[in-house]
Amino acid sequence: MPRLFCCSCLVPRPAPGMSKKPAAQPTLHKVIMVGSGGVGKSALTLQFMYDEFVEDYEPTKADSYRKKVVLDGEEVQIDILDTAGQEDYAAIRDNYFRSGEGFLCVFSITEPESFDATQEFREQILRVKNDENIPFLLVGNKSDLADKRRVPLDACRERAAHWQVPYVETSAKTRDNVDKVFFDLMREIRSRKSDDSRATNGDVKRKKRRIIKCAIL
Amino acid sequence: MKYEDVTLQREWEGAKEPPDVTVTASEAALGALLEDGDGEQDAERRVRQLGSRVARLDALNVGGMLAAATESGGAGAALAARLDDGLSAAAALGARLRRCDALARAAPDAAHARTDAARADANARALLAELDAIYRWLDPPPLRDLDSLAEPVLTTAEGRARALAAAEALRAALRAEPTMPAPRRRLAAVRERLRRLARAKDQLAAALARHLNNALIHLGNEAAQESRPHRHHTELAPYAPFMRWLKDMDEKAFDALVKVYAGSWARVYEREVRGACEAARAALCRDRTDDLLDHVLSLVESLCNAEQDFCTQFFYLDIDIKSDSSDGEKSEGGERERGDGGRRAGAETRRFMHELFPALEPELVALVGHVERSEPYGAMRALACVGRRVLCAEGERGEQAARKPKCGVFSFVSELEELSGACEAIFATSGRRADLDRWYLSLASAMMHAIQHAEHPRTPRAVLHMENYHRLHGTLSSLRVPALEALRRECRTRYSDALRAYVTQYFGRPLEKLTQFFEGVSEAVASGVREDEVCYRAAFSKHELRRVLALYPAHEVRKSLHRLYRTVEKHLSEEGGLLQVVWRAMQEEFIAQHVALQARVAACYPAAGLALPLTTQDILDAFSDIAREH
Ligand SMILES: Nc1nc2c(ncn2[C@@H]2O[C@H](COP(=O)(O)OP(=O)(O)OP(=O)(O)O)[C@@H](O)[C@H]2O)c(=O)[nH]1
Ligand SMILES: [Mg+2]
Repeated sequence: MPRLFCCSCLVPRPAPGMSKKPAAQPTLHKVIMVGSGGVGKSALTLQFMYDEFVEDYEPTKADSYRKKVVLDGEEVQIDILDTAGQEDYAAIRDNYFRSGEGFLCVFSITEPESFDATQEFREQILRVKNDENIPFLLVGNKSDLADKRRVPLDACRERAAHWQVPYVETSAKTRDNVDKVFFDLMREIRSRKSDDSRATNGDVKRKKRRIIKCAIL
Repeated sequence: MKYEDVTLQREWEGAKEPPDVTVTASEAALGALLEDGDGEQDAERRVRQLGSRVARLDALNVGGMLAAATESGGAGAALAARLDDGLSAAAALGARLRRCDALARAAPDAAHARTDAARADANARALLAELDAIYRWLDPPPLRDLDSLAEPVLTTAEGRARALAAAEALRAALRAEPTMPAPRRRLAAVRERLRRLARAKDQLAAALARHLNNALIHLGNEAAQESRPHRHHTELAPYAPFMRWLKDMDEKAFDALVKVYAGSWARVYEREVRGACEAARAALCRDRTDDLLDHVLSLVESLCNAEQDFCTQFFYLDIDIKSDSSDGEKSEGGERERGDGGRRAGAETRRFMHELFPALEPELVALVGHVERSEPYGAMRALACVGRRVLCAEGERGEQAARKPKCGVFSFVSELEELSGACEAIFATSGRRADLDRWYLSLASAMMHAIQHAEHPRTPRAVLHMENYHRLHGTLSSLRVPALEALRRECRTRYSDALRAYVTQYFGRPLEKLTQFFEGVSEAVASGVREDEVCYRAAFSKHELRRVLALYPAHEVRKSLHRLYRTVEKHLSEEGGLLQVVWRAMQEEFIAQHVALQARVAACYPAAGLALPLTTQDILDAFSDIAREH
């Protein structure tokens, strides 16, 4: 039995958070960052996690982050897997795509190649998840660099409409829309999960319903 | 069928006669029916009629007997007597049916007649079984004396055992209702009996609530007046099963008792904690700050722990009584911590403890504040003391961690974030940033030390390091304290090293012998042997390589890749969240190694027609398979 008393009793705020049970962990939403190298996946993640912007570019392999946030009044945990834009073999991504519940597909509005690459990422995700309606946001990053813009807004919107996903422009540098993309995605994941669990509960109920036969006559 | 049930029931309800008469009347009716037939005339039609009327009589009889039982005072004994009557009536019925069967046999052209008689016989048997089922459901031995439940004897062990048996039997009978077949539930007598049981339940609940309420208030008053060691836990423990029952059967009464308990003991503890804090303040100039705080914290800790242990068991906090099996068997709290139920559960204990110790936090915060004012480094010491206690409490918990299947992230690592929130709040206004930073530094390095030397029987050390340094790094990053920058980077490095170590230790396994073979080749090359001459060394001959390659048919390599994934999955914890990171690194490493081996084969054994069991594409396909399957 885990003890509730610990020295965080000194905490001058209400008790929640004193629990040590892993079981008391809030719901976990698993988000995957995808997109070409250098578009700002890590920058967005670090800005969201720690309110900081990193100027240096250090290519990622794979990093995992976890944070408790309050989503529409409910405490939840977000698990972010920040992945490599440059991966020598695409098949290596299959496994982490499989584990994701929602995707932020990022490109840089200053780099048309990164916009083109979103096609491939989307295809691979749909193939691995085998699900057209997987929670997914198309994210055009580096919106602070408007003067260097090389991907027209119309093209971005058109692609998002074609995929039937939201399109949001962000800046990891100015923090513009950073919270929005993560929270919007979590909302989609959450509503997706509650749809799923409603469907399974329905099944259970259907199975449980039995016809009671008259036993005596 | 359904329609007929309803009519029969109505028929019965409309014709309520005195019970004895009913039984006799229906027996007589049956008798008349049977005696009447002289077997010559129209036997076939008669027997068919007989079949259907016997069926109706069955229902009349059961209904009659049960109604009789409840109407004549409703006591269990009466029901029992009626059911006994029913059994003998049913036996008589069986005998008559046999005669009827003989009658039908005697009749000419008796084929239909025989089936009808058989059906009648089956009905009689069904009636017997039904009576027995009702009897077992509504009148088990502990419910024979319902009247005494209004005033159960709760002061003796024997009385409690009897009351508990009755309570559990009541619960079982009432809970079983929805599972009973509808026709059985529709019988007026069954409904009446259920109402009686429900009344008995209410009476018992009221009696229990009264008794426990008095006991709680008495013990609370006693503790408030005298200062001898508290005895309420031992006094109350025998009533725990009743609390469980109340929680299930009468939530209002249960909640009221929880309030009474929390209310009276909150008063007692508030006084004790305040007393201890005042004593500590008074002694502040005389004694060492550390000892004083330690004393107060020890007291508080033992009070809290004892109450938490007792209350989680006594009030069944965090246990979903309702979804529990209705047989009243006890379940271990630890087993039910999974899933949504478990999540809500933890909150229940926390809420309760908060009600029981409402003044604890302000009291302790005030004490720390006082220490801080009276002594320049007091606050720093207070925090160091707190930190020490966190870590030594962790030592005890470490033993628990060893019993878990995986080590996972230590709770002191995940708690650091919360603790720091608290400290920031305490020191926000005090201008003692430097003290706080020093404290963070000492706490974080103590944690790193603890992680570095921790061990777990089933988790590889590299995994333990990887998961805990990764998490500590995350926490330190979110603190954003410049003073911690060096430690933060150190955590990152140790995490990366552990990841690297784990990956290298395991990725080679699927092709272990082959890897070893080529390590030998590399050494030879490094020592000056030309690549195209390596194969002239006996240990690295084409023949030898062919032998090693034969150990790895393609399907075996695929299988061992799947095995490797399962091993990684087994080692890593859910809360560490690193499975994808590690597996990505493994895949990358495996392919890099494979490509290097291919290059070696090409360079050292050209034109020998030797190739590794799988191509790079094969391996990538195997990785995709793993992603699909796991
Ligand atoms: N001006 C500006 N620069 C950005 C923004 N986001 C990222 N950068 C810069 O772009 C470079 C690459 O950013 P990263 O976040 O490391 O890119 P990434 O997508 O994680 O790249 P990989 O890890 O290689 O896949 C860095 O130098 C960042 O400082 C942004 O919104 N605005
Ligand atoms: Mg990156």
